[in-house]
Amino acid sequence: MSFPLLSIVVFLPAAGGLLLLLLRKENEGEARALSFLISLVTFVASLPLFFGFDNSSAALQFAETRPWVPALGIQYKIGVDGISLMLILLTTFLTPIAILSAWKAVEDRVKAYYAALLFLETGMLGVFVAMDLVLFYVFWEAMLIPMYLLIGIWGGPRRIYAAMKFFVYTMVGSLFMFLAILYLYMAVPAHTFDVEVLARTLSNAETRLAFGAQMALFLAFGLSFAIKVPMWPLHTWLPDAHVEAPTAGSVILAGVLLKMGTYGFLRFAIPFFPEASRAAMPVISILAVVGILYGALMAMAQEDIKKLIAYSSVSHLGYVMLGIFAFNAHGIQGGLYQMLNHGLSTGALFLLVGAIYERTHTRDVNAYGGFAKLVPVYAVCLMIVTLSSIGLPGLNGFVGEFLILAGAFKADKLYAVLATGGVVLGAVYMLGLYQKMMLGPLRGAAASAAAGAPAPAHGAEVAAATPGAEPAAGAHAAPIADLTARELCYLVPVIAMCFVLGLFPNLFLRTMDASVQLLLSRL
Amino acid sequence: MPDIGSAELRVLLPVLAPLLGALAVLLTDPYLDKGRPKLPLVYIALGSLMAAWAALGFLWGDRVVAWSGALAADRFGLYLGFAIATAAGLTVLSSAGYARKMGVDCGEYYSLLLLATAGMLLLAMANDLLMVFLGIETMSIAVYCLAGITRERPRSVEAAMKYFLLGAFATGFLLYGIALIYGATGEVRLERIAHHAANRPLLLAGLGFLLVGFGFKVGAVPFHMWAPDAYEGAPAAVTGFMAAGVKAAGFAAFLRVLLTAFGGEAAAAAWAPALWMLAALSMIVGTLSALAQTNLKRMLAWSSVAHTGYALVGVVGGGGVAGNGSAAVLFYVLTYSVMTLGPFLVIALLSRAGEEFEQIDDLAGLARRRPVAAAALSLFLLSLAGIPPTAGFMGKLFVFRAAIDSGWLGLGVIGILATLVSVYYYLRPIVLMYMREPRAEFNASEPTDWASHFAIGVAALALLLLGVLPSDAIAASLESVRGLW
Repeated sequence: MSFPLLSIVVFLPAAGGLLLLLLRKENEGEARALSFLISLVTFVASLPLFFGFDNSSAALQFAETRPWVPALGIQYKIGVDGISLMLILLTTFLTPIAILSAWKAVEDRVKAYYAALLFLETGMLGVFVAMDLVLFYVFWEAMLIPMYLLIGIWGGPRRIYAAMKFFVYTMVGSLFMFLAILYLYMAVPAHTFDVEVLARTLSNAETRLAFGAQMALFLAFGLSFAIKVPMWPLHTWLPDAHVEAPTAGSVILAGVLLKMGTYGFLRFAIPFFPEASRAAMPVISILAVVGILYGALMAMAQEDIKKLIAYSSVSHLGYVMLGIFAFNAHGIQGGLYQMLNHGLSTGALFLLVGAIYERTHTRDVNAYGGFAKLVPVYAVCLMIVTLSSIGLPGLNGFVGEFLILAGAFKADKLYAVLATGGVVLGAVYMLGLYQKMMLGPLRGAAASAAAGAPAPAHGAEVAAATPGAEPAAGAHAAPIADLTARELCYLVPVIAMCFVLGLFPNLFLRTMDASVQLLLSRL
Repeated sequence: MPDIGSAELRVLLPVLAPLLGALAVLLTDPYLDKGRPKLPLVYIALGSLMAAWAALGFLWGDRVVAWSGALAADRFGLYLGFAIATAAGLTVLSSAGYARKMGVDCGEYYSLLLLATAGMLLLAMANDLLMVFLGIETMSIAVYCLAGITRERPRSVEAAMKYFLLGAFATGFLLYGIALIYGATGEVRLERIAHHAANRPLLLAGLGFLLVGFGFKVGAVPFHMWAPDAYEGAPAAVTGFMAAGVKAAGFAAFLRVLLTAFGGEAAAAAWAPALWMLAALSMIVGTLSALAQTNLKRMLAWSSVAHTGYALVGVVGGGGVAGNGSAAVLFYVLTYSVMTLGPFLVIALLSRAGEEFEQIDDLAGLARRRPVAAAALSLFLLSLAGIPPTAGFMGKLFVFRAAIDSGWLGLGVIGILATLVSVYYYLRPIVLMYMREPRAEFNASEPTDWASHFAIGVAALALLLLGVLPSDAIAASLESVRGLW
């Protein structure tokens, strides 16, 4: 075993989190700087994973195997393959950005906030690299705690409800998965939690499980992942969690956490239970299509910007599921690619919403209007991200959606046609949002701010009568400034990545090829 | 009477240490100033417990049977012996401040703690039924007194009374069971009882009575009635010691009797269904009742009933000595004793003179005033809920794995559902501590109780270590069960 690069990438943030907790309470600036530094170092440390990755191999790379609890057959086994590589990089890329975005927004218990973000990063990375079922489960569950605290402590007015809902929904799924993991251990003659061995054994026609057992276990695993995706109708925790979470929490939640469910299907549920997956394909495809359309329609009806984006996530993740369950190379690659796109675009959307919220203290669409005149740079950023989100060619969203729809057409035309309808709806709600916020005459908070006078009665009414609007004395009176240097610092890399992924898709798609082929061969 | 050789003395060392400590405490107490903190007593108690620890470590190794086979110093008994001695030590540390606040900073308090510990260690090593009885009585009588030691608090007295009356009743069952078994076999030594065919009605009736008696001591439904009142009424430090030590010692003896005397297939077929019921009922009733509690101690009492159920899942799924369910029970009880003691240490720390800190609602905003206490309590609760990377998760993993391996899927499902519900009541205090603003006042002005903080820190660290690096403890538990023969 050579240099344990992967372990360092995974545990560096947690080590930093512990270090932060040792700092004195008063050193808020140092806590911010330290956490940013650590997440940045983690990102840099994760780059060799990408550049040193062998695209032609489907085998586990940068793998480390050590006994952990040998008496119970549990190993510490981690590694990277084409399915997890880009998700790991997405995580290490978005965390420093999320940390930077929270620079001003969080003033209460700063140290703990950043520590929670760093612990969360370790948890997420652990989920993507774990190649032992128990190790995976440990990370999967442990990750809940920091996210729960992020929502529950630093969230909005209904944060406790949202945090509890988030926790309980996830626990319902994962405890059944826990039982299934233990059952799987017993059911396989090799008696192992090793993911590679299990995938090989269980996809082999001679050694796979009986169909009934496959179906039961697929349901147990699938329920847990479907909640996390979230698939319609298990999505109801998401709008609550998004609306109440602080900006950095939303970015991480949308950017990375929502990928765990789809990752789980690709890594565990599909290769372990191939026959059950095939049998479940029509049902999951229908649910995915319903999710696409339902999410889009709900997004159109929202007045709270964060809620709108949350429902758009339900729609986007529907595409990912549809692509994965097309069971062909295009669909699965498209699904994987769309996971990255969604992480970037939606992450960027939440960053932008957070930035404007810090100025206006409202997330109500009606309180905006004509902001493009006030904040031109912001408007340009929002335009790019909006176009990326609706899949304009040249930007990242297009590649993913195109591959998914191509894959879905090959699998079943009906679903593909319906899903295409979702693309149209996506353009409607996203452009509608842009229009309401940025174009037209100055309205609401902006009008009063532009006038430099206390808010007129109309604006105040709108702000007070709508959800998500917090009465913030004096907030309206301050002129609304354009993006600051710090904000550009974290927005520009994300937007740049949107272009890179849109213009040079092959750079990333080729890392996935071998692993996707291996997965397909197991189906 | 056999020759009292070195083996006899060696085996007795872990019991003798706290016993002598108890005497030393009583002899020292009259010479101490009334008005001042009785620190020498704390030092004596700690010293004797450390001696017990050292003796346990010294004996760890091959099985030594002494006193005509009445006592067995084997890894099986020593494994939970460590848990007992540790729990006692942490209790003493936390008592240094707590006993003063409650006005029981006296020799009796510490000597009773040590006597109970001696009884527990005796119970963990008991290898015949009479020694089991002796251990249980030594332990129980001391604990009854401890539960009622804050004489001015009516609830404490009520708790002691209830615990004593029901406990005496259960002891009766136990003794009756022992008598029937002796009648059927003419033996009290565990491994000799195993030689008799288990299908004799008299023996089975004896086994049944034993199950009732042990079921009571470990707090399994339907023999759990004493637990909520006793836990709530007894002073917090004592409750923690009760929850951790009594259960650990009870399970040690319970498991040893079942595995040694009734480990054969025919006998196991008789007790497994009965314990299945006890396990399922304990998990269900304990969990559902805990949901409704507003008093932290009472909630923890019901939670301890539920945890008895989880541990019993391992007993049922033990598959005798060959299976690793019994080892899972040992590991589970070890982790449980730490994670259930922890919250009581925190309660003891937060309590004010003569007034227990026990309402869940009073926890609101604790994280702002007492960040360390809040963080530790959260860790204990997360461990009780079985969330990784804490020891509680590893314990549940081990127990449920054993149950599913031996085909008890039904118990696994019940256990998972109970765990799911339990998340709600374990999380509620965390919500209050971290996400609400303070309502009650916390005694932040008092000087820091370092001993108590130290005890809490040790417990928290132990839980994290057992959760992240459990390998050695699990391997030792497997060896312990193998060494039983």
